[in-house]
Amino acid sequence: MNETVRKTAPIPQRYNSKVGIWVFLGGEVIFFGSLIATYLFFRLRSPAEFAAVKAHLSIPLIAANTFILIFSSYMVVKALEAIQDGNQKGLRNNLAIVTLLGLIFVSGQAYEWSTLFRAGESVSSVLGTPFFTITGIHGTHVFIGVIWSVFLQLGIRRGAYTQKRHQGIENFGLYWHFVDIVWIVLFTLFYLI
Amino acid sequence: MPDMPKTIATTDHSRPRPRYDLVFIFLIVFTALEVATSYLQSSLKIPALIALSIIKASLVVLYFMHLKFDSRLYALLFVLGLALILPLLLMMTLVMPRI
Repeated sequence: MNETVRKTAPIPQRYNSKVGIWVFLGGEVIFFGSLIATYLFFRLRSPAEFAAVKAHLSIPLIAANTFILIFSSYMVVKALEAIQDGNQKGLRNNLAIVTLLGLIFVSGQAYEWSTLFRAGESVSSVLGTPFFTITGIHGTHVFIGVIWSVFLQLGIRRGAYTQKRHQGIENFGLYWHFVDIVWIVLFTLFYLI
Repeated sequence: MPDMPKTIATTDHSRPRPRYDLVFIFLIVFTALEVATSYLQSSLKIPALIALSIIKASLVVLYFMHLKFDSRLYALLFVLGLALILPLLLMMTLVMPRI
């Protein structure tokens, strides 16, 4: 009997939904990778146009937005940690902070876009098209994450997540962290280099 | 690369729990370093920024997304995506702009 337990216990349990999320994220890597490749191609082909666009980008504003997104990722893992410890209040509060930080990030991006449009940048220019497309798609991902976090809050109110059953929180975290990673790359390629 | 955060035991015994606070501090410090580096005029600026970006992304994937401790299947799915897009990325940045 003990032998049986020893043989079967180390097998790691996999959740179908978690495998599904990772398959989705693998696809997202290809999706964002192809968009970034397109942006880099246009940028390398049109260095003068890029210099003109970069003059209008506000690094302090976007750096603040980057700190906000990284902080939100930290709060997601704190939320997961809380429910792993059976702390419902910690889960609820940390997730509420994630929602708020996500909204602040999207608002910051909307503000950046409005200043770029006022400065004369266009979505139809050679670098404006890939820039606004990619940052827009990323912002949409953040907004979807915000909506997802609101649905999670509704689930928490129903008692859907417990110390033993919290795969939904982890799946959300995987998505949110991936969106954070994409921004880490975009921040470097679009704003700093 | 700084010392990697050590792990502590988790309550559900399914896997070790990373020191999330330490990872978070590294991410903030590296981001601040990136911003400071972006204002430098040096030939090392671009390699340094790319390296910092890769380190930050790796920290998030390995610790926040638990790939360091989780099933290899998830890592395989993620790396497969990267491996598939890398040729296109190299083609469009190193070859096509010269054509």
